[in-house]
Amino acid sequence: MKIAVIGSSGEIGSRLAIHLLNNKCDVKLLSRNIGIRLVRYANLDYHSIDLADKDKLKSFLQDVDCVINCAIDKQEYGSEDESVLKNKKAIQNLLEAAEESGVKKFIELSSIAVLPPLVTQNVLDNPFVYSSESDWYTRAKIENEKLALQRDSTMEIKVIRAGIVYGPYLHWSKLAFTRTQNRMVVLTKVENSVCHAIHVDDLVGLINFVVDADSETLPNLIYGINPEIITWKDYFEFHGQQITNEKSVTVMLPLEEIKLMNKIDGDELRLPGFKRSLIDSFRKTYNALPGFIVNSRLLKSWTYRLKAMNYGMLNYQNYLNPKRQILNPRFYPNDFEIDLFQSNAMPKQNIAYQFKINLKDGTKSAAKWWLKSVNR
Amino acid sequence: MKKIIVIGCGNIFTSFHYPILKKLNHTIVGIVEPNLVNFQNFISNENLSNINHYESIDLVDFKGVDVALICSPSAFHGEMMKFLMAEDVAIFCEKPILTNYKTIGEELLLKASNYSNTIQTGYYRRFSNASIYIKSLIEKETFGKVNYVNMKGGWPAKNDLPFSITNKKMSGGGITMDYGAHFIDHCLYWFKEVELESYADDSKGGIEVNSQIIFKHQDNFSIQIDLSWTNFMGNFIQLNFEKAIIFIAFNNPNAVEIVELNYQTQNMLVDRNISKKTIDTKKMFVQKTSAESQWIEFFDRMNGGYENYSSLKDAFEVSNLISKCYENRTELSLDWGY
Repeated sequence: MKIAVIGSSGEIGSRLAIHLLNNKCDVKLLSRNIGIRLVRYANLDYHSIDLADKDKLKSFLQDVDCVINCAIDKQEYGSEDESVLKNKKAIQNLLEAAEESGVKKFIELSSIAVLPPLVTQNVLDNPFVYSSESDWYTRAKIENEKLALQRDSTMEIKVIRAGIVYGPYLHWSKLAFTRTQNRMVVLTKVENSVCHAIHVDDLVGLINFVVDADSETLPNLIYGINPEIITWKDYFEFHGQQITNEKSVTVMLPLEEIKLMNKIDGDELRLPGFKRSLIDSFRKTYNALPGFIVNSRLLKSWTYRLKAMNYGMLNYQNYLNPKRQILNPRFYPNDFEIDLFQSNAMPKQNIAYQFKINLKDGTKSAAKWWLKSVNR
Repeated sequence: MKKIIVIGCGNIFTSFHYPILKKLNHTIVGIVEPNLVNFQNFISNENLSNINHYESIDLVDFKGVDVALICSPSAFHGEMMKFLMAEDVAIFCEKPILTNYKTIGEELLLKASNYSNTIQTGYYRRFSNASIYIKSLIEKETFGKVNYVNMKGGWPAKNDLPFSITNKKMSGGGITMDYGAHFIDHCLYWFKEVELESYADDSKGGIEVNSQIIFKHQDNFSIQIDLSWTNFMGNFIQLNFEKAIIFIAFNNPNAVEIVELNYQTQNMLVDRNISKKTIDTKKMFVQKTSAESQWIEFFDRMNGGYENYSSLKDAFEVSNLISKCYENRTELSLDWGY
């Protein structure tokens, strides 16, 4: 079976591509650049094709049986709408080219970001009631997922909604290590809060499972989330325990304070997304660089938090380091975290894939990679 | 004012060498560049005219040309140099001088050593004030003899590394050949001779992006070089002397951080904040950037000066050592997976 990995230089795409290559699979790779982790391999069937170019995509997919789309276009365009549109157009081309080339199976890698921020049982019972977040990433993922799932296609189309994907090279692990090495993580306090984590190698395993499985036995929508019940506190603390001898400090902040912060509106800062201009404005305002921005929800929460502190509206001294000292709240982003990405319900596993990597072991492998680096 | 022909109009020339040559008032008279767009972009960005464009080096008339600057992909350096030596021009060749020492290394070294004109290689980092200062500490044994050296280099490379680096046929190798060459050059600059003890990298047939080199010095100490394009390595060198541990960082070419070992700090894990002092070497030596200093030495040598900091012999030996590394390669296992 010939498999095409689209977005093969990305965090997940490259891990998947390497897994397939190491297992001697017949694999074709497509991404804007080859990617630093793939240059180790010789004689790669690698192609740099613009997803807007349908003809080239069609010829690329000519001999392919299965397409796995891990791509998301993070380039900065003139507006957020344009970003969404570009991503939508890309998957549309990809789906059409795949159909016309005789591809049998199409796997779209989506995200639980398509669901409303607080994932409750009610949300899970209505999986196609999407998030109303306005950032381009969420909107693009929603549009792509809709296009894939709603398509009347000759191909078998499966969508995997991946959770918080962590592990070596993954930004969610980078975030946790950066925080915990600074020994201060502040989270929202949500009852029975769970973190929908999945180790990247488990996600790769799940994708492989879907590639190989008889499609008729599979649902069209699959959750890529390890059923191990862990909280966000666990998530940060397990990461922290792997890199420091001391137990990292995690503080759960009552939701009332979040609500208080929500009243503090900063329109210029609420513009969400990965946009450079926003990061610059953040830096200008707070004299600090939010180098670990991972999605708009986090950004929004940080900005609220910082703004609240600057207004003196929160008694932030309760959440400081053991010495309860702070030089300047403006320099806070590296030490402070409020995460609105909370959930209190776990999707039922609708697939027979056996998840293998629990958080404890998963963070160990991530820490080995993290500790290889120095002088962060 | 020298007349210079440039071979290869990529980033190394346009953003690294050209600003210095411009500052030193030398003239680019021609550029050999198979990709016309690169040439056109350069002349339009710099608003230049009267520069000849050549598609290949054999089309160039070297009459009246003083210097040939080789900035082509690494794998072509050796052949270019061989060709240029027949033209009797001074040659400045970007590092590494060769990607495979075995094939023409010894022959070219002999030829280059007897060449009537100047040849120099772009190991500019040895011109940094911190490196020069460390050399003096080693020679004078200010802090006793060296016990151990650890060098860490590299950073998470962006996905858009140029094709001349990612393609093994053009680059000859990965991070060991590219960034690692500077660290190996430092070993030779400071310790004159080193022998390869072991080498491991993570190549799967393409170029390596993580590698580890261990050299042995005749005074029985090890030099370990850890290189990575997937991890942030800090780009620093740690030298353990008998009486001090000293750090320098490639990113800060003037600072030398010294932790003197005394009764309290000896034989224990040293906290760098205890008894740490940082020396600013800026005013001790050349007071130029290392990149500029290497060109000043080059032009000085053309006018009859000698190798002061640069060393043609060492440049060849770096290539020889890299070739030995690849010949003795073992697999570097990344225990977090690939």
